[in-house]
Amino acid sequence: MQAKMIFWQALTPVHPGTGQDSSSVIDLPVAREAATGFPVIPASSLKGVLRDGRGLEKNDESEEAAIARRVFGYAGKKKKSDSEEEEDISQAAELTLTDARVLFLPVRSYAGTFAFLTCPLVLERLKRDQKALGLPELKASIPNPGQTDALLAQNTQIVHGDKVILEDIDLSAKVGGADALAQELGKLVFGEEAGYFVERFALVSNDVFAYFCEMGMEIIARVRLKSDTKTVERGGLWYEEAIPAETVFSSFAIGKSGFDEINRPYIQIGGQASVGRGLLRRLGVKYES
Amino acid sequence: MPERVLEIHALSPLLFRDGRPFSAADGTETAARSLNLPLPSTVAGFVRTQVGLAEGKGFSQEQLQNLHGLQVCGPLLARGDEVLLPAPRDAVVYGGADGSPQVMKLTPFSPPDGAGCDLPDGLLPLQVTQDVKPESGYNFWPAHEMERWLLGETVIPQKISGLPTETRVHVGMDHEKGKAQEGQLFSVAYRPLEMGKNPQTYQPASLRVRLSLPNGQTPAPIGHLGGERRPVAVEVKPSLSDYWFDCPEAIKKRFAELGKGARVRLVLATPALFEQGWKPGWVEKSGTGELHLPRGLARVRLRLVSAAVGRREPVSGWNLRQNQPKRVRWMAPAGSVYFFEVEDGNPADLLESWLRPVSDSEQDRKDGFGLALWGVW
Amino acid sequence: MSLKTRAQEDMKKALNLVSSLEGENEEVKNIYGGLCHNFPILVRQSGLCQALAFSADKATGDGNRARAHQKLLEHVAAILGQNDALGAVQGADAIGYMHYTRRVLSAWVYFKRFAASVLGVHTGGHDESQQT
Repeated sequence: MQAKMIFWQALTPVHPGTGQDSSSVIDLPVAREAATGFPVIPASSLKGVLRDGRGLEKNDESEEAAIARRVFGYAGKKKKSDSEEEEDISQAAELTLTDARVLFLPVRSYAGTFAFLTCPLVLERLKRDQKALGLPELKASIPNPGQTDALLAQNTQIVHGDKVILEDIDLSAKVGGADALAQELGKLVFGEEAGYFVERFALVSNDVFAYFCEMGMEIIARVRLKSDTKTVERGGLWYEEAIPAETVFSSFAIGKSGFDEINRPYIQIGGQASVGRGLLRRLGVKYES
Repeated sequence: MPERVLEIHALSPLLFRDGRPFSAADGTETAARSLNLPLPSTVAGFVRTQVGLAEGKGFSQEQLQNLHGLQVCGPLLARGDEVLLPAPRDAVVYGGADGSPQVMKLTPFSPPDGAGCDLPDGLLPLQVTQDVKPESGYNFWPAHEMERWLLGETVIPQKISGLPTETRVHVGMDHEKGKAQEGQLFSVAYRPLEMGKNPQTYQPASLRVRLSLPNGQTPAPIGHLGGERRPVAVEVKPSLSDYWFDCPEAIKKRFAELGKGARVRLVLATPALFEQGWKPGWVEKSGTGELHLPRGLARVRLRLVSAAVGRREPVSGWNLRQNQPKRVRWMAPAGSVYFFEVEDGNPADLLESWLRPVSDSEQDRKDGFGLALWGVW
Repeated sequence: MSLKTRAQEDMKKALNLVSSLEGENEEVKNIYGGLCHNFPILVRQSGLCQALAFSADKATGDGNRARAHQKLLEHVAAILGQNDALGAVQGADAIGYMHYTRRVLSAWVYFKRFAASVLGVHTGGHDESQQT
C-alpha cells in the first residue's frame, strides 16, 4: 500500500454543495467538516470527477472500463454471455482518496491584495495524517500565534504599519515569526512559485482561521428571470456560498495502483461548471511512502 | 504472545452501517445511517485483515481459519489520550431545579408486600427515585468518571455525545449530459474520528483495540474500515497500560475486600451477544467450574438480581467466505448493567474478565463482543 | 426546568421580536421582512460594522423605511445583549467583533425563517408586489 500527498489550488470559486438546506443564512452553503466547521471537498466528489464516468456501464468491456473498475471499484452484476445467469462483477477500488481539506485560505488584505491564512490546527492535522501514512512530516515547528497575532515570513508583503488588515479584522503583525514554516510550506506546496506564497503567508490563531472559514467564503447572488418580462421570478433570488479562488487544499491518495489517474493538470469540481466554477489545478504529487 | 494496543486513526470520516437496507434506487430507504461506533466484529475483521496482510501469506482457507481465531478486544473510543466508555444505563442524567445536570442512580428494589411486577425469574425492578425527563447527549463517560461510578460514588458526568455526524448527499452524475441522474440521490451519515464543533472544542479521536500479536508482528499500517472503504491507519502503541483502561487499583482493592453475599455490577463496554438475548447464558453455570465460560466466571457463583439493559440492537454482516449475508442476531447494547449477588467464590476473580469479553459463545468473545467492566452496588 | 441551548434561546428571542412587528402597518412589515433576508447577506459581504452603519443611516427620520431599519437595529442589539448595536460593535476589539458577527449570524437564521412564517415575507427581493 502506497500513499501520496496531493495539493490542489482553486482557480475559480468552488461550490462543493451539501445538497440540503441548512442552518445557514445562505441558501446554498458549502460542505463543511462536522468537527471543525472548515470547508471541505468530499473525497467522493474528487473520485467521481477523476473517474469521469468510465466503466460504469456494465456491458462495457473495453480495456479502459476494466482499468477504471479496478482503480475506482464497481458494484453490480451482469448476465453471463453464455447463459441467463448473472455473475457478480463487483470489485473493491484499488485507489482510495481522502477528503480535500483547506490548507491555505485566501483572505482579502489591505496590503499585498490577499493573504494565505492557515492555523496550527490545520497543520497539526496534516502532520498527524502524514505520520499515520508513513509520509515525511513537516519539519518546521508550528508556533502558536496569540489570538490576534499574525505570524509572517521575513519578506512579507501583507503588513500595513504594524498590522495585518484582513477584511474588517486587524491583527498584530509578527514579521519573521513563522519564517521557517512559510519557507518549508512554500517549497512543499508551490515549488518554484514559492515566492508568491511566502510573501502572503500568515499563521493565525485557530479562532481567527475558523472565523474566516465561516465568514470569508464568497457569496454569490443568483437570480432566475422570467423570460418574457426579464424581471426576477418570485422566489427566484438565492445566495450561494463558494470557497474562494486561490484556496489551497491538501488530500491523500492511498492504494496499490492507479496513481496515474491523479496526474492531471486540472479538474472541475462541483456544480455550475458552465459558469466556470470549481476549476482546480494540481500543485504537485509530493512524496511517496 | 505479547499483548499490544492498536490505535486506529481515520483519514476521512467513516461509515459504520447499522444494517438497515439502503440504496439509491427509487422507493427505498435512501439514507445510510451510521452507528455511534463500529461493531466489535467489524473492527476485529479489520484488524485480522491487517495482520493477514502483514503476514503476506495470502488469505487461504487455512490462513483465514487462523486469523479468525485471533482474539481482538475492542473497540474503545479515545478522545485525545483519554478512554471514553459508553454511558452506564443505571445512570439517568436530568436537569435539576437550577438547570444544572443531576444524576439519578437506578438500584434494585424489593417491592413491598402485596406489590409485584411481571419481571422474569424473581428479578427485581430498578427504583426510580425522581420523576424526571432524562437529558440526552450524555452518551460517553471518561474512564476516570466510570471508575468512580463503578465504585458506587455519585458522578455528574461531562456531556460527551460522541463522534459528530457528517451527513453528505451524493448524486449519481450522468456523464454525457453532465447533470445529476434521475433518482440517483442518497445521503450518507459519516462519523469523523474527531470530536468537537469548532477549533476551540476540537479534539482528535481514535479507536483502540487490544490483542495478542503473533510473534510480535506489526499489522499492515494502512487499511480500510467500515462501509465505502474509508481509509484508516493503524499504529501499535508501545505500552499497554498507558493506552488501555486497566482495572484501576481502587476497584481491585474494593473487590479484594468482598466476600460471599457481595453485590457486584457488570457494565458492558461493548455490545454483547448472549444465548438468551438480554440475559447472559453463563449466569446459571457460573461458579460450577464448567469449561469455556468467560474468564473468572467458572469460579464465582453469581445470582442475577436485576438489570438495566437498553433496547436490543441488530448485528449482521457479510460472510465473505460463504459469500452470503450472516443471519441477524440481537445484541444487548453497550452500557447495559447487570446487578449480581455473589453466592460463592472469591469476587476478586471476576476482575480477570475486566475489559475482556463475556459473551456466551467463544467466537463472539474472540470478536470482542461484551467487554466487561466490574463494580459494586 | 431543564438545560436550554443557545439555539433555543435565540429562537425564542427571534420569534418574540419578529412577532412584535405584527401590529405595524403592512409596508413596515414588508420592508422589515425583506431586511431579515438581506441583512445577513450584507453582513457576510461587507462586514457587521458596514451593515449596521447602513441601517443606522436609513433609520434616521420618519417614514416606514426608517421605522423598519430602527426595528432591525433594536433587534440586533437585543441579540447582542446591548442597548446600542452600532456603538457596541464599533467599540469592540477584534475578538469581540468576531464574536458579535457570529452571534448575529447564528441568531439571524431564525429571523429569516420567522420573517417568512410570521410576516409572510419570503425573500429579500423586490418581487413581493407581484404576488398573485
